[in-house]
Amino acid sequence: MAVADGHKQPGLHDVAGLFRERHAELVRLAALVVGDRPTAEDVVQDVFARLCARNLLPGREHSLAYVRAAVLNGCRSVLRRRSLARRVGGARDLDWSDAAPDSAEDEVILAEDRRQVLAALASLPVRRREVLVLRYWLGLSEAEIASMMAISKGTVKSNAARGLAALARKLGEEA
Amino acid sequence: MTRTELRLADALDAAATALREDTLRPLLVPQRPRRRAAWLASAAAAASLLLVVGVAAAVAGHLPGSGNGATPPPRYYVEVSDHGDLPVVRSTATGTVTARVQVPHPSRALGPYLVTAAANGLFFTVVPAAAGVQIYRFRLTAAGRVSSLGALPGGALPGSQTAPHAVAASPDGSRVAVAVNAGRDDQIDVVDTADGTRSVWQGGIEPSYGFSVTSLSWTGSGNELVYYGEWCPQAQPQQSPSQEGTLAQALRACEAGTAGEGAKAEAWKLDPASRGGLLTSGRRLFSLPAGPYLPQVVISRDGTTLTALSLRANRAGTPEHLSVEQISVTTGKLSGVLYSQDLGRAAAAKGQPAYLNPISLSADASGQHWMLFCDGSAQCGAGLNGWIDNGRLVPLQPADGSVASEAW
Repeated sequence: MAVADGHKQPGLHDVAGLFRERHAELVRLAALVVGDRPTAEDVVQDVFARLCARNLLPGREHSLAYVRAAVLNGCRSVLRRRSLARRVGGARDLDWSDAAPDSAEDEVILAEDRRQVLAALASLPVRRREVLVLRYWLGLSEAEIASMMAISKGTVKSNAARGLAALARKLGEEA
Repeated sequence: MTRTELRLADALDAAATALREDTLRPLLVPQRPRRRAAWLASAAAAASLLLVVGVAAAVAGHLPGSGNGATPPPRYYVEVSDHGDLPVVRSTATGTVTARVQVPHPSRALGPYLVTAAANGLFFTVVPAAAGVQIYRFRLTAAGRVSSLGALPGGALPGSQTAPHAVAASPDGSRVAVAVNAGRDDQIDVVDTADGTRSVWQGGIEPSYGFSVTSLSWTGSGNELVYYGEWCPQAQPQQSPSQEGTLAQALRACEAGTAGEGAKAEAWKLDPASRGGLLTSGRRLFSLPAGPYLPQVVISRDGTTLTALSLRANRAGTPEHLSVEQISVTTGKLSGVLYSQDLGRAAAAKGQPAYLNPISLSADASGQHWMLFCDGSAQCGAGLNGWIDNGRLVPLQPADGSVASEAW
């Protein structure tokens, strides 16, 4: 599992350098929220271009958190548009079967059980999905998630609890 | 951890691992170097002209210059969202969307559109395209509808594959100036809207500098074009155009704080009748070695006043105050403050440092009514999209910090 690094900053203080270091992590974060790789790469590219154009990174102690927040904002925009498009027809729901593995080895990694979990995750409201990804993939604390998503710690906690409960129900477990 | 938590962590890790780093699409080269934060950090060394401005601003009162009641603001404005959606026309009074500008929609990755207004409801919007940018022209009707939308002849500008940096139409709509990146430096293209002929100002930059334009504006006659740009010291010569080299170059160019002396911002006046030339072929209005960061500087219609958007930082380099100031071209002294705001409070409400918020200024064709908006991210303070009316900011929609460009 990816190591939580909310406390360990990259020591970079420029957009290009940070993206060089964190490109894969940011795409993975976006992919876990939006559910497909091409869109995730678009989101990260978009954030990268905008930040580079404006050189907008805060001090090094905040830069990674800010970029992650910007990627999450980009993901929300995508999901908002998808939601709108679904209402008028034509757009697909999140579907982790779209996440085509890169190789036979990856096919094994993304086994059926995991697909079930990911599909259940994809069915959650966006905010709950984001909280769970930040908590259980990036390993961020409630305070870090609250800061990144601009919500209270209590909201983080309640979203995590409700998200886990919903996952457990969908997976036939007890949370 | 419960079983659900364990399964979730495992599935997330597996899904992330399946997305292999070596198969990712490379990031496109960033469009230009900027060093906004570095400038803010070096505020102590303010240049003579703007030091005068900075000190005087503290004691100056608001001018009734913008929204002075003599004429009402335009009834409609065009807003371009940071989400890459189509530009929309909104009612100034209510924020209601009255129309959408149906320009061809490029890839979102290429950045947002920019929009600019001329007189009599004439607008121009610049759309990033696969091999450059394309200018479109349209009119707003009295009812806030879009008419006569079409690609501007001669408005396909080659070169940059990223969003243009600035655009400004002359008040009579006869010319449109666009700043685009052309390799290391920006260039300014001016398109004659009647016959599509194009004039280009480029070069003249010392080899040790990179150059980018932050704002363009015209005097009322359309006979003078003023650009405001930044010169970044280049620590090393330009490398090969590989992505790594280009990224490293952008990195170096933006590190004005570590590159030492030499970073400067200047406003120049160009004569469009000269049909192009060096960027330094006109008259320099002022030069700013360092100091209060000015995201934008705009010439007045009569050519006597510069309106500057100014950010002032504390000792830690964090901007705390925003103001829209007017400076006499002839004396270089402050003549008034149209608007001022404590940025820290607005940003603190969103839990983000203020300098995350790029801020833009846009005048109507009369030059009397100013729009002020954040153009970058959802971290933007909610109060920073509005028009200036006697020292206060009248809110405009949207208020979610998603505005990339606005014009009226």
